[in-house]
Amino acid sequence: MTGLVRAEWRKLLSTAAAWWLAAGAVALTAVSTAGTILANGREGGGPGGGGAQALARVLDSPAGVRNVIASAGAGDLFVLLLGVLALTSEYRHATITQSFLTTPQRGRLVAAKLAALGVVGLAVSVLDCIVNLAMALPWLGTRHLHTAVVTGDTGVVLATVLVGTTLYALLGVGVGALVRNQVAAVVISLAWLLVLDGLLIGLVPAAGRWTPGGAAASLHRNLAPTAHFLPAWGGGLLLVAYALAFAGAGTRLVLRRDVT
Amino acid sequence: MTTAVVEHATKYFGTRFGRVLAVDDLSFEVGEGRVTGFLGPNGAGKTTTMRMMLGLVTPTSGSTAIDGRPYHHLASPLRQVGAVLEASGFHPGRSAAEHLGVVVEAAGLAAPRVGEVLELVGLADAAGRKVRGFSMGMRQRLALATALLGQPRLLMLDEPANGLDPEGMRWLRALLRTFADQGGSVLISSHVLAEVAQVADEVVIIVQGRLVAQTSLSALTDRAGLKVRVRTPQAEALRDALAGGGIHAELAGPDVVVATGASLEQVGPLAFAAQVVIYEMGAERSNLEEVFLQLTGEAVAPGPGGGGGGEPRS
Repeated sequence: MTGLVRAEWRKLLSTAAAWWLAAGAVALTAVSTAGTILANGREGGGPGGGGAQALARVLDSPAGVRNVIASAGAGDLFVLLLGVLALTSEYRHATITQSFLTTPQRGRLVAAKLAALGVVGLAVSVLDCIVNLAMALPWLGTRHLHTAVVTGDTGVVLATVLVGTTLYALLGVGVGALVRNQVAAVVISLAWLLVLDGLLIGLVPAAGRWTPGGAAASLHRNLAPTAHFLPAWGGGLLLVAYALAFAGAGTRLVLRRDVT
Repeated sequence: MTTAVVEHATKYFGTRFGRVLAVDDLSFEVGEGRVTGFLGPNGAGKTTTMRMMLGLVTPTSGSTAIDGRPYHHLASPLRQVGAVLEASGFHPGRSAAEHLGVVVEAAGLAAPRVGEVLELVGLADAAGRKVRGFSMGMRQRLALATALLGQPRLLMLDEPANGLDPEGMRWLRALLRTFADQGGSVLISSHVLAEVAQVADEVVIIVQGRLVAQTSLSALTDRAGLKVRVRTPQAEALRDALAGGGIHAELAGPDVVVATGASLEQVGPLAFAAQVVIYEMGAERSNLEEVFLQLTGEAVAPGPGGGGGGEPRS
């Protein structure tokens, strides 16, 4: 089984798309972290006014610091796409035939993909967290906020980022197993998470929090539950349920489908 | 002993237009240490049958086995079977060595095998090149290298001639002959008998998913009767002499006589006795193709129950 997982890593890492998506995840995290710091500053300072004092006031609040740190989870969409690649790339280039010839017990192959992508998702999210902290700490530090960051729930927020992003990778593997066509799988993932979930969360928060995107947002951003989001543990469990459901349904389909 | 068995395998494919019968109660065996040609016109169900044997397509009913077990129960499939399939691909961004490395890793094979098989198929110089730039012939060689990774005892090749030039096909035939002479078994499919006639010991012929014949190549030749073509300036004299010897012969041109149902050993002495000058004399190989066409044609023509033997591809 470890050989199978290593083979999956080699498959992934020997393609340019995987490196671009990983780089994209880190870049998105960097942009999102910077954006959150600036946005918090603007909200706190009000239009035209503000400056360092006002910025510091908002960032100083536990919620403000939490939002900045939670931006480390912004790369999760790219990590999900990495997961989508795991199977769709095989169907697209017809390498799935050789993979099944090598590992005719297809459940083992999907399990190896889930394990490999879980580790890749975790690795990318660790990078995301490092980039986030590398940007956030000095930035906040200039405003004498070291203590707030270190003593707040930073550790817990970072843990939710690691868990959430890793689950997104597994969710992606499931989506790829269900929708073999690569372009379709990518478009569906983006449309669902960016548009559908975004609209629901924005317009009908009561329903939106039950979507995968809502679950991830609940997990990352909301340690103190509000009306709009599930508690973090609830969001986490919901995301686990989504990942299990998609991976399970996808695996069932992969097991049954003829490869012609 | 046999290495691969197909037993009453039937496969229906569900399509938008209803169920299509691709393989119809097909049974045959691949003998050990032999090259078995798997023949039939396009759409006869050859690819579907091979994919069932390799666990890629699930039979609607019936079964297939390699060394007595279904493919997905083989302990180490690549060490038992090597397959070169038509619709099997490569990631264009991976190099030949990377492609083989992934398979070696997943199958738990020894890493040095990568270099060995690349050497074997003549791709050692292209090991580090991305498959994107490979010609059809190079891809076929890489597919064959992949099949040979596990040093299997059985090779299955689906229409390997499609990507190979005549020189490449000759090279492949030599490789398969050596493989079989060392005790390996080969199942090689083709829609052209001539492609496998030179290397096959045995042929399995299917039409519309049904078995038409499993027989040795020599038996196939006997089945149609032998044919001897003789070029001589005394064509009519030879024809009469052969007729006198009880051999049916016809003029196929002003100086060509074709004797049917006779061997070279029968025609030669009669020509000598009649003191006929001979420029050229040979047994006709082309009649194998005629037998093949005759067999496949017969099978198509009556078609009771008619339902097509289509071979849908995605």
